[in-house]
Amino acid sequence: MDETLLVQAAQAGNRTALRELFEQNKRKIFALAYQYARNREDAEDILQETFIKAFRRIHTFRIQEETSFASWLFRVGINCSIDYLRRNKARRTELGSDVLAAVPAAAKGSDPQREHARREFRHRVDRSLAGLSPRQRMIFLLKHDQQFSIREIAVQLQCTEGSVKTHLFRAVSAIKRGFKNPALEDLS
Amino acid sequence: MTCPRFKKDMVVNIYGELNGKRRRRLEGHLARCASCREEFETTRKVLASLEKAPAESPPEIDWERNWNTIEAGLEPAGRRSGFLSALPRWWVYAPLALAVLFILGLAVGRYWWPWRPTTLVTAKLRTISPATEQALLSRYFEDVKPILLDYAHDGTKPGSEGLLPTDRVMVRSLLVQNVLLKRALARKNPTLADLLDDLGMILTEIANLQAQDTTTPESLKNVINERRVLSRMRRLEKI
Repeated sequence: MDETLLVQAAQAGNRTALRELFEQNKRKIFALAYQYARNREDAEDILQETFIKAFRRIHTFRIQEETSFASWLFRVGINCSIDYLRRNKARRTELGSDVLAAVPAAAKGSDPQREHARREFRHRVDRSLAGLSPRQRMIFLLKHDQQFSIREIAVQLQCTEGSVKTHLFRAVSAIKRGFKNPALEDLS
Repeated sequence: MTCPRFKKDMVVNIYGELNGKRRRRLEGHLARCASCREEFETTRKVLASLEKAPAESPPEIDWERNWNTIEAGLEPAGRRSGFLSALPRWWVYAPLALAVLFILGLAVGRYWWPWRPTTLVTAKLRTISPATEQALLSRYFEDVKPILLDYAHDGTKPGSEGLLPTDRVMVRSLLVQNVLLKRALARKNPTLADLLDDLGMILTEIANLQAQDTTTPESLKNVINERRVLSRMRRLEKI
């Protein structure tokens, strides 16, 4: 069913339309939340929060003016993720330690030493990301993992492109500080 | 040490978003500055290495459970049950609002309302001179004396025409004056305090007589005489 019709039906209070909008967008929002939180439980919380917030405010979504419901929802997801991390600041520092265990086991036939280096490297990346502010972390994620352009990030976060560049530069600097050359060489 | 003005541009250029003049300027600078060139290479290497260890893809989750939580979260918060649900929402808060207003009213009346009649009158009485004090007392005794004389001698004598009809409003007014005088002057003069107590008691009995109380004019006469109220009044008038 067409997204516009679904949104119109959802705005009229149709629960089936809401369910359909959830089905169409759930994976994209969960992927964003999981990349951001690096933890399944937190990502599920962000997913639920995003859809509850978006569906409660669906009457504010203007079909003619906004680009699409999916991108509007994605923006809600971004804000929910940042807010979630801000609220759970105490847990932020622990995020990196959970991730090492969550990295998938080595595939059959792969070099165990190399696999260990890969996991150690990923652990360092996540620890560096955990040290960033929620906004810097989101900007780095959108740029590096989601491959958004700087202009698109500025639109999503409703800030200037200069501000995005500054946050991106600080995020990259923090990640660089978390690395030592041997770790890079192990991977190459 | 890298040149600060090119730091941000280096990162933006690695992501392929530096265009035109700024890009050419950065490239020109990198060709000349070894330190910035090294910094640029390190940054590029770090970002490239992130590609070699990508974050794991999101795990599969129980979508149905998540949808149920979302659906529950869409229900209006604090849905009421039973007879309360039939009432409009404001009705629930109305008693609370009334209680708050009542407490506020009490607080304003007690602590901030400027008009306090009793306090003002007693305050004025406390500040008056001894001569005025004496004049006030004399005037009060002048008003009380005829009533007391009527009860102590004339009205209760056998063969007399009986007690004069007592004005209830006047008796009440005398009682109020009694209270005010006690508050203002009794602390300084215990003898006066005793006398005013007795007068208060007698005036109250007279007021009650009109309400067909058990006290008789004869018993009031005894009280006035036994406690020598009139002579005490005379003594205090002379001071």
